[in-house]
Amino acid sequence: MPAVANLATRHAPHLGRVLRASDVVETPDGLRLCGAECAQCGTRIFPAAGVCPSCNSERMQTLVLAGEGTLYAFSTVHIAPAAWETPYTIGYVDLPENVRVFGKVAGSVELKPDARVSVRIEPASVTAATAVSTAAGGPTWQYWFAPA
Amino acid sequence: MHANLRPVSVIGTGMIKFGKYRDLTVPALAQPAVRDALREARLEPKQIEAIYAGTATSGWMPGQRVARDTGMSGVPVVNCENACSSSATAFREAWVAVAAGLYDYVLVFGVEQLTKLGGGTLPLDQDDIEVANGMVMPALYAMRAQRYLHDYGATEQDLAQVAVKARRHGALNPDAQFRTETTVEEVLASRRIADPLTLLQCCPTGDGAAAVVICPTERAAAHSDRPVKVLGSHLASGKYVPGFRDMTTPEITSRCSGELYEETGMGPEDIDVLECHDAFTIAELLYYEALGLCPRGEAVRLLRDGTTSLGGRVPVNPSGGLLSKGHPVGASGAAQIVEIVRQLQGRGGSRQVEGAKVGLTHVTGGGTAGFDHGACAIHLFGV
Repeated sequence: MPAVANLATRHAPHLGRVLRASDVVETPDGLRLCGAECAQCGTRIFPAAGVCPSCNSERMQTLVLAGEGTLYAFSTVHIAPAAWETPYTIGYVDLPENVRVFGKVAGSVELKPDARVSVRIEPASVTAATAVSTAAGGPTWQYWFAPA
Repeated sequence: MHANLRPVSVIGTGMIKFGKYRDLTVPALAQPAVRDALREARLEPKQIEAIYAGTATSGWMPGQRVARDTGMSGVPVVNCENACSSSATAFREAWVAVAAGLYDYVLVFGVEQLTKLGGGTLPLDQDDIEVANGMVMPALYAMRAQRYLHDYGATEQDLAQVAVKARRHGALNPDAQFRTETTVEEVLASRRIADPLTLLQCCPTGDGAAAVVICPTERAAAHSDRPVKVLGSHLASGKYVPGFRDMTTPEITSRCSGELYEETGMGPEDIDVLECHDAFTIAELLYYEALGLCPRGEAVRLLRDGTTSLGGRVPVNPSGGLLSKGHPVGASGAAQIVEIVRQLQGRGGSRQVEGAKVGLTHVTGGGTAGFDHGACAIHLFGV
């Protein structure tokens, strides 16, 4: 199981789930989200899993995801469980690898569907990290989207 | 319909007025609905051979707890959890059992007590990656709404009109949680929940229960002056898609209704009245299209020209729907069946759809990453 932020911890509005160390990779172009691709049927997923959800193959390979994508749809949420600070904005982002990633959206620029956004990754914040299991070892990360 | 199955009919219905009943227990909520359904079917509790219960949040063995308190303990009980489709799933499983010849008289009920959860958005699975990133059900529908408005040029006023219609219908239903009408201005000025959806565009927190009794059609005349036939039953589950998905196409509903129409040889043009899963305003518009009432992108036209209002060609949600009647999650599927059965029996009172011969019920739900929805159950009824 991936490490999960304890929702009893209040998150900064732009931060969401804490990722496993293996969900992020450092590249010459900076930090990138890391999903998986099935060597048997080509299905691509994020977050990575050891078994393909399409064909049940265990031949899953690391897939480094692009740092920019298209914001398919988003909503600013005003009512949420008590652990969340409202309002916050969430949305679906389609990456060029045909992987859809859901997460918080931040930034003061007015957004519209189909806007270009970049994937922002930073070490998990101290408040959230206090509640995080780091069984996989190494640093853990949080991601969100911002206008590109 | 499958050749080896017996025709099945509904012979009894019951439901309580949906609302807030914090001081009652789950069995106490269900009892009046169950008693009414048995009485209507002219059956004693001991004649019921099996019970199928649908609920999402009522804890362990809700069916047994109700059976215990209504003189039916000891019979086989199946408890069904399928999110918003829980009691429609229970109905389908009961239908399968009676149609297969396993039982003759079966009770189905749905019950939910959402007030016990404290209000606000429904609690979702916190291990789900979207939930852990702040997903709530209103936001899922809000994103569908945003994209539908973007793709098809509909307006926030159009969304609000769905709520206005629901309240207009609900005002005629003594069992509805909301019985007052509203206006587009009032809907749009209500509290923001998840943009562009405002409070009056979201189904309320509430409690409720509904029950039906079914039997083989050949026995129905002895139990009801106006039995209603089950013309078709279909259940579908979500297909996992890790990449691009068009959120204005409710894939699971399109697939489920398409398969049901194919099985029954019937189509949307045959339907006189229907209840669909209008948990949020946008949902009703999307389901007009997914159920085949109109082509893609034309749902707003049906709403504007009155096709789906009482008095129109195919009234949708004459009960007030989830938006006005209320949405005690696991009870909603059974409550839709109660409404459609009573409509086909001519018992709709001031909201009667004149001359209705064929009706459809549709529930879907379950917010899970990678799915349109987790479950969908659609039923066709006729007289």
